[in-house]
Amino acid sequence: MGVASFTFSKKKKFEQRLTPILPSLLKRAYYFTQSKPESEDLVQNLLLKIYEKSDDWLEVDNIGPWMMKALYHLYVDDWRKTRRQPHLDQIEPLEDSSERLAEIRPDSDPEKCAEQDRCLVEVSRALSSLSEEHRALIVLHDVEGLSLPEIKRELGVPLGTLKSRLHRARQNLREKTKNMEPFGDQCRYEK
Amino acid sequence: MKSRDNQRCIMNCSTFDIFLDEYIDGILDADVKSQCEDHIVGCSECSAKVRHTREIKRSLKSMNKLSDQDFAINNEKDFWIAVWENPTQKEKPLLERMRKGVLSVAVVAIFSFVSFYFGIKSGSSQVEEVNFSVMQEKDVFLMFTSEQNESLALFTIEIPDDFDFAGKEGQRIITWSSSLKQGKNLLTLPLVAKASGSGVLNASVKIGTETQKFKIRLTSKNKA
Repeated sequence: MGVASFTFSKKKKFEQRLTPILPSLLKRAYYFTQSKPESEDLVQNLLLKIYEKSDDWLEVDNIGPWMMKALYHLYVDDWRKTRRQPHLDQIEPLEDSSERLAEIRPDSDPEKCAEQDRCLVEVSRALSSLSEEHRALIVLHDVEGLSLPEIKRELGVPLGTLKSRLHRARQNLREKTKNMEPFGDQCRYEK
Repeated sequence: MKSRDNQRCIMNCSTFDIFLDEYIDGILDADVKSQCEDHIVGCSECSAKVRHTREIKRSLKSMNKLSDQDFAINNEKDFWIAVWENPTQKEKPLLERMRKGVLSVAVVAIFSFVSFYFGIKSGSSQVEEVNFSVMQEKDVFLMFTSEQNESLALFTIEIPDDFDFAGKEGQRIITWSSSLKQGKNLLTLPLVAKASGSGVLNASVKIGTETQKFKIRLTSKNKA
């Protein structure tokens, strides 16, 4: 009974500490995986792993950045091996997405808007095909807008490693989008 | 940033490539930036590479339109109940096991999409193509845009012989009903290519008496 009571209390404490940062974890996981179901599973795996592996989470002062770092490593190091199978019966409403798209293209020229949509689809597709390591770095740096020194502080990865990794990741993105409009005829440079 | 005076000589394409990322990110020293710009003016290839990279960067930046609030947990109790479930026994993603409508987010990444504008177009058909390698599993995403909330939409999807619905081997046709919300709705369709070949995925969505049909060509090839 005592053990059960302790476990309950520990779980509650875990929930209380982690609940405030769940939205930011889910958002970061979503940007990494670009899939809502997969991002939810990634966060669930992270929470269970952190809880079951040790009690380190009890000792950490600032648990937000600590969990973000753990999320990154789980995604980059282990996720490909453990990712779940997607499901069929899933319709996700994309609420507000048209408003959000409108926000990012103040230019009202329909042709330009269509062109930007095509670019976004191409880049999204290319991003999805990158390795987890490259994709995560592109998300942190180019999607979320963190600087390399900020990423270094967050992840503890050397700056030189981040620079060379970003260079290769962007090279891959360029290669995978070399036929992207409006650059299709102009992307004749060497990789 | 360390001095790069030794790069003050005429910049070639290889040297420019070293500085490309920092040039794009706008964090170069003024003198190196000036040399990069001099090089770009005279080099159409590097100039195109800069434009291309900037367009990629612009697209990537445009994806960051979600806030933490978009991922707010409406019912914390249900969330944690779902978390503590044994993950090996679960059948649906975490938040699907909670009450419907708890979380809605915009999805920005899609492999392929087909849009339908119910009430505007009728009987139209669009063709997309999705390529697989044999034994590869891939999510095909279909985006449906509806002008209004629809409480009942009937979906039917038929796939060619060389493909399976992931987790439903041998089944060629699936039919199910769902609601559609006003705006964009995304259907995730996980498919597996079980042999090399090509065929057409036929899908239809029926709302009331109106039916929209569309096709997607699926091609599977052996890896080179």
